[in-house]
This record gives sequence, structure tokens and C-alpha cells, in this order.
Amino acid sequence: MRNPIVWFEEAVKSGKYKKDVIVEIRECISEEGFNVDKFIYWLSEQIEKSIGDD
Amino acid sequence: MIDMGEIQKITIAGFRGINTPPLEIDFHKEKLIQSVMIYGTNGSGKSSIVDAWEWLYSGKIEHLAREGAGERAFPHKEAKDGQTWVEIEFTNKEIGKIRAEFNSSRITMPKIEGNLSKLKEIILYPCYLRYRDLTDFVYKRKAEKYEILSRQMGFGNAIDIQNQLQSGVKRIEEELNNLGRDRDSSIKEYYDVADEEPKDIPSFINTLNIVFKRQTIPYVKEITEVQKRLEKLREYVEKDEKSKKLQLWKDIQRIISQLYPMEDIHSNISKFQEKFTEFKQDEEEISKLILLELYEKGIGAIESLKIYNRCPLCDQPYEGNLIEHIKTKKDHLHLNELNKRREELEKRRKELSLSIDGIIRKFDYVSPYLEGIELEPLLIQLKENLKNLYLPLKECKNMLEKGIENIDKKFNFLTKLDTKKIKFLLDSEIKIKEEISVRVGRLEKDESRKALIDDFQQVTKLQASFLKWKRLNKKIEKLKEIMVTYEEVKNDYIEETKKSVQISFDAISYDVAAYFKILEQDSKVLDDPKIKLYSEKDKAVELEIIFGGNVISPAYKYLSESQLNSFGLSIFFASAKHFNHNFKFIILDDVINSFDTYKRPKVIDILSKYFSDYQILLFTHDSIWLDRLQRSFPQWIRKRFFGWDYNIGPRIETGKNSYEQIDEFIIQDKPTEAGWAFGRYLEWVLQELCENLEASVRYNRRNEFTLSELVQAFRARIKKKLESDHPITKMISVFESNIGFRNFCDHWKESETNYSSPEIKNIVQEWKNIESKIECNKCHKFIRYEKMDSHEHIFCPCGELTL
Repeated sequence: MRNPIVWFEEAVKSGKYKKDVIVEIRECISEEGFNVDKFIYWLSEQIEKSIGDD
Repeated sequence: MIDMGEIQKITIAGFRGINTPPLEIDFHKEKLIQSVMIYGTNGSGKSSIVDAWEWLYSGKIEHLAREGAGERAFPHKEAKDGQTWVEIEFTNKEIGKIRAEFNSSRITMPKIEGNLSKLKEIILYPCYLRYRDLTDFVYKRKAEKYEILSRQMGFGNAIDIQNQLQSGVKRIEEELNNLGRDRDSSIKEYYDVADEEPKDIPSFINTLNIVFKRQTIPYVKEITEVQKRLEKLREYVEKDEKSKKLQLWKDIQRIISQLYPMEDIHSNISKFQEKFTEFKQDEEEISKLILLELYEKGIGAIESLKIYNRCPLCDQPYEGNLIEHIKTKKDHLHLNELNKRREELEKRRKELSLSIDGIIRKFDYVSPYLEGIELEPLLIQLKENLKNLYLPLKECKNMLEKGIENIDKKFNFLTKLDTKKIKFLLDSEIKIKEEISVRVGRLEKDESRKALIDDFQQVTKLQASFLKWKRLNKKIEKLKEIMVTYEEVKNDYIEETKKSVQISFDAISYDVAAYFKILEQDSKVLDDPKIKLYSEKDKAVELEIIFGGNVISPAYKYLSESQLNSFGLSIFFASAKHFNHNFKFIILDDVINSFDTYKRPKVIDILSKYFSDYQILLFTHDSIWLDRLQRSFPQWIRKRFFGWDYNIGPRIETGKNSYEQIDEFIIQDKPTEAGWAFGRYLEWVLQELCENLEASVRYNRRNEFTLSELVQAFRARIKKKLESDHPITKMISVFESNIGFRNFCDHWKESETNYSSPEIKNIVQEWKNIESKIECNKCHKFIRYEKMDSHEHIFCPCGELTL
């Protein structure tokens, strides 16, 4: 099994996934594992941004 | 001889059962690094050494943690600061020497000297196995086995990430559900006004235009015009003082409808206070309730253990029925009655807590609105009462949340809450509602004003709910879009991990089967063991086996405890071999404990066939098995823990095999002890020989075989296969007929013997002479009988010795 960080870095490069999401998932991966709170915080920000200026 | 070692020396001081002087296990023998076997009875301190290894490597001792013993249990009771340490010297120069010292100021962080991180790079899989680890593992659930094995194969981080990604899915789903709920409420709010659900912008505009038409406000064509039209409508409201007032009173009416009806908690508080004071009067009685819990748990433990005559707490025997005894104790203390009262009070507490919480929520909703507006005297008083009651209510709520036992007995709920104010609040309901109604009614007498305010409120609500609905749709759409990618990434990552885990499982599976076959070669009904990995939704590891010709998976329900342990031991050996391939060192602590005597030599077979290039530190309390081990591995260092002392720890000396032990007893003129040692040894050897040679031993219902029966069967078989005039047959016949031996056979188990040290010495020597003819000098195994192609053979397993 490759180092998980390497796997996610390759996933970013692969172009297989929606860029902003895979980049953020990669950002949340460290030696400590996957930081769920950090990802959910980013997700909430994206959701808020999505409503725009209506 | 190859210097195969990894470890030069282990030194332990002030740790668990080892105190001072430090216990040293030196692996040097004649300038080479060797394996070490240590004999010691239970409680002689063997396991402290494995614990010390685990602590140095990981900073923890798992089995102690499971039993609730933390780091404070690691130092020896007499060890002072700085006197608890473990030091291991490695042959690997990059690692060198590693020392862990107990840090009394940070007990979870031992002071480490040396390159521990390098050691962790090399040792991926635990290199030690205790009997308890083995039994714990085999009885774990299949999913736990998967997790343990995967982690031990170095997939810990990957599995953590899998689990974290999975928990991320749950969090996203929760987020989605919350947004969905909010959207539903916005739909309801819209429906209440428009009598239809929100659909799209044109239908929203259409609904608005109906209202705007009534108020002669120009039609809306684009969504961007809505706000302007709404402002226009607001202007209509604001320019007329009475319309403005009506708008205000209608808002107040809506807010007040959220406050009332309000629950009358006064009588509940009074009743609770009365019962609470009564209950708290006798602290001594209440403290007895702790016993009630203990008694109930005790009864539960006895029933599940099905041991009715021994206390599960102190392990002392009890004459009579322990359950009845505990029940009597319970009745005697009137605990049941007291507990019933407590339960009733607890119920009241919870109900009261819920009621107060409901009132606080209403206050939270109403108060901020009343703060910002100019009020009539009646509402000013209402606002003041809400303000004055708020903190006492909060205080009561916090106190009630503590539970009956923890509520301060001096706390008085009745004096805390001003009952007059509560009463006023309740009594004011009708008056306030009437007052508001009168005001609203009066202002609504003007039909056009009424219509204006109704329309204004409708449009405001429509706009707010439609906007909310629209925003939530966008949010949900965005969340779903992110979720799709997230799920893809998560699934691909899990798939990749599963593949890697499967590859590792495949790598060890072959060896697991090979070792299991050796351990269970006498079980004719078991065949072809495999470890099966289930990596679908519920990841699991199971043992599959051919049992009586059928594939059985999971095999656990068909296997005995000993067979399960064979499986566990096989996995340990295979994993240690595959995953620690740069570190050929293993520690085995009494792992043969659950194996039947006949199966124990098979562990030696595995060690000699597959682990001859490994350095092993082995502990056992089976002296006969140790004898066998010494025969197979004469080069190993032998040690013996001959006792344990509180201030010192294990007392260690050079280990002796059975013959050396017998010789020592003879020199000390202890014929009884020498006879005991020789009798046990000879019984074991003869049993093995009779089995190897397929000798017929006279049957008895007790299933016990005495020396004379065994030697007779052995002699008869040898005579039959080697003929009467074969030198070995003659030697055995002489040995069997020797009067000294016959006397020994009759009396060796008695505490007082009628033979002397020289006599026992002669018998032992005679047997040694026979043994030297039937044991191979190369493979150190006894002869066996086999029939191949109608030819009969008596030879050792390696074929060097053939008779």
C-alpha cells in the first residue's frame, strides 16, 4: 500500500475528480489522517458561497 | 554457525515484577548471538519481560490497559524515581541501544534514549506473542480480526483514513438532512400563505401580483422588482400611524401566541421539593444505594459465570447459595424500597426539568422581540417578569440536570423561583390576549387598513419563505455535487486499500496453512485451512476449513480451543515472518499453554523447519516440553527462573534439562526428587516412543498408563520389529527386568521411597544408554515406525538413524 498522502496527491493529478473537491480532500489529509472537521468547514463555506447575491 | 541474532542484551530494572539488581538476559554464547529459552513457573516474572518489550516499543501495555491498569502500575512498588527502565541492545548498528525510563512526571511519555523511530520502521508487526494475546485474538469478532490484522500488516493509517472518510459521509448526510428539513419548513411557511407550494419564480411573482393588485401597486414582471414593490407597500403602512400600530400589534399577537399557553409548573415544583427534602433527609440510606448497584451486578456476574459458591469479587468460596445470600442482604437493607422512592423522584426530576426547559425556550423567543419596542404598561410588566424569572429558571434547570444524588440538599426550588411572578404570568394570559385583541380589533375596524396590513404581512412572509426555499435549493444542489465527488474519492480509496490488504493476506495465507497443517496434522478430519478475507461492506476475516470433507466457513464453531489457538499461532508466525522481514526476532510467552501435550512438539517442528534463522526468546512453564526443545536446539541458551522475590524479582540461573536436574538431586542425595523428575520424564519419552512405533499399550478405563505398562509395550513392539537378538531389544529387556527398575516403577510416585540415590543413578544411566541408540544425533528426534510399499522401516524423521 502506498503512503496515503501519495495516493491523494496522485488523485489530484489524475484529473479524474472534480478539482476543487479533490484538492480540498488532499488538503485535509496528513500524517494524522483525514481531518473531517476541516473538510466540513470548507463544505459549509462552499454551500454559503453557492447562494451568491440573490 | 551464522550469527543470526538481532538482540544482544535485554536489561530491565524496577519494572512490574522485576526490581533490583537489574535483570539481564544476555544472548551471547561462545561469541555468537543465540536464542534463549527460559523456564519458570507461573508467577515467576516471565511476563514482565514481554511487558517491558511492549512498553519500550509502544509506550503502552495493551493487556494491562484492557484490565484497567494504567501506567502507574508499570514501576515495581519499591522502585524510586529513575529506577524503572528497560534497555535493549541491538546488533543493528543503526539502532544500537534503546532505553526507556519511566517518567513519573509524565507517566504516558517514557524518557527514550536511542533510535526508537528506526526500530519502529523495522518492526511493523508485533514480534511478541503471549498466551493471552493468542486467546484474545481467536475469540475476537470477525470484523475486529480484520481490523487487528490489517493494522498489524501496516495498514493502520490507511484504515484510519477509511474510517474518517466514512464518518465524513455521515457528516455530509447530516448536513443534507438539516438543509432538507429547513427547506420543508420554508415550503410549509410558503404554503400557509399561498395555499400552494413554492414552484418557481413566475408562480411566485403571480402570487405576489394578486396582492399587489389589491393594493394598487404596479405588477411585478421580474424578480428584481419584488423588493421595490415591497418597499412601496411598506411605505403605505408607514405613512399611516394607525396602520403602523396595527402592524406592531399583530406582530405582538403572533409573538404572544408563542408564549401561551404556558405550563403551570408551580404545583410540580412544590411536589418535587417536598419529596426531594424527604428523600435527602437520610444521607446514610442514600449511600446504601451504591450497594444496591453492586449487589445487582454481583448477581448478574454469578449468573453469567454460573459459579454459585464463590464470591466473584474476592474469589473466596461461599458455603451455600450466594445469590440467595445477596438477595437477603438487599432485603435486609430495605434497598428495594429506597430505590423505588429514588426512581419515582428521578421521574419527577426529569419531567420538571423538561417543563422548565420548555418555558426557558419560550422566554428566549419572546424576550428579544419585546426588548426593541415601545410597550403598553401591561406588556412592560410582562417583560419585567420574564426578565426576573429567566435566571432563576436557568439555575433550577442546571440543578435538575445533575441527577437526584448530586442535587445540593440545601437547594430550595420553591424559594428560588418567585411563585408570585409565575402566577402573574399565568394569570395574565387571558388579560394580555384580550388586550391585544381589543387593540387589533379596534384598529382593524377600518377594512382597508386591515386589508393593507394583512397583505403586507402576507407579502413579507411569501418573500421570506420563497427566498429561503430558493437559497436552500441552491445549497442542497451544491452539497450534492460535492458529495458525488467525495463518494467517488472515498470509494476509490477504500478499493485501493482493500486490494493492498488482500495482497498482504494472500502473502501470509500460504504460510498460515502450512503452519496450521503441522500443528493439526493428527486431526484427520481437518484439512486445507485458509484465511478468508471478506472485504465488501462488512470487512471481516474468517477461517475456512475442510471439516469431514465439507468446506466450513467460519470454522470457529467446529474447532476446539486448542485448534483455534493453532490458527492464531499460525497467523502470528506467518505475519511476523512476512511483515518483519528485516527483523528476525520473536518472543513467545507460554504460547503452548492451551495445546494438548501431544501437540506441543509440533511448535518445535515449526520453529526448526521455518524459523531456524530467527533469534527467539521463549518462555515456558512446561519442563517436559522444554526438554524436547533443548534436544532440538542444543545451541540455545538455557535459563531458569527458580523463584521470585518481592524485593528482587525473578531469581535466575542456568537452565537444566531433566537429566541435569536428576543429576543434581542425586548429588544432593535426594532420591525422591530425582525419582519424581526421572519418572515424569520417562513416562513422557515412553508415551512418545509407543506412539511413534504404533505400540499397543494395555487399555485401562482410567486412561492412565504407568511406567511398567509403557515399557512393556515398548519392549514388545521393538522385539517384534527388530527381533529378540537385536542389541536394542536385549538392552530394553534387561532394563525392564531389572529389580531396581521394577521397584522404582512401583514406588516413584510415593512421597517416601525405598530406593537410594545410587540405585536411581543406575536406572537413569541404563535408560540413557538405550536412549542414545534410539535418538538421532542430527535431528534430535526419536525413532518411529512406518510401512511403505509393504516394507517396514524404523528410522528417525531425518533418516540419519535407521534401525
